[in-house]
Amino acid sequence: MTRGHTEGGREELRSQSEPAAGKRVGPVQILRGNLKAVAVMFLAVTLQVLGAVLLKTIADHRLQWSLALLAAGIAAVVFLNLVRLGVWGAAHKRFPLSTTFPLSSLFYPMMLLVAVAYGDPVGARQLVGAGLITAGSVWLTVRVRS
Amino acid sequence: MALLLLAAALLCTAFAQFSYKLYYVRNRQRSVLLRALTLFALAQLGFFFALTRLDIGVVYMSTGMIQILMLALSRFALGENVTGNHLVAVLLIIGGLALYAG
Repeated sequence: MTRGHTEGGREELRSQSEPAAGKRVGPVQILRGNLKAVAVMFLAVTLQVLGAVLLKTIADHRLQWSLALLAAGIAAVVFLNLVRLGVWGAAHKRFPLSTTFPLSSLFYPMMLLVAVAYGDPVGARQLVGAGLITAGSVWLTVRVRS
Repeated sequence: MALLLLAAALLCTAFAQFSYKLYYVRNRQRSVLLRALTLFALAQLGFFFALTRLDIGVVYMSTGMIQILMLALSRFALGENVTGNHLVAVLLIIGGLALYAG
């Protein structure tokens, strides 16, 4: 076991599945070796997407809903995001940061699918744009942290 | 107006994350945690109002800016090092956002 630092400055234990320093490991190998981490991060990102969809639903129905219902809905979104932060934090404690941080970037492709489902105009420009945002986010977490 | 509210929501989220980081750096002061949670809740309000006018894809793709804001906050408030790799990521995110929403 080796020790590392999270973004929050806490000292956390890293599991032995963390690749040794200097040894290059491909993304497929990382995913194969960390299926539990992938599942937990997928849950965290799904909660984030659910929060986004709930907030959009509330925004679309704001004129039909009472103020109390709107407040309750927004409070539910805040709660959902706090749960997501809890799952996210637990994942970072338990699994290697080199796996969990890049997986956070799954949010952008998932939001692209949600945008399609909501009928947003999604063409080649949006696909490339979402790809670049995802790449930038992954770059920030893989290239910079490695 | 919707874009201003979206910008405010992004700033609130970045400052909430920054406060959350400070919470751990500064001996877990409760006031710092409370500030983080308040900013986080305010950010959701900003996203709500932005979503009344903007597409869901535009609003949530723009959350990529939070990473850039965090980078700037870490650099200027905490004196953390910003490398060429950071700048490549910043260019990718800004370019992606310009393409997506432009």
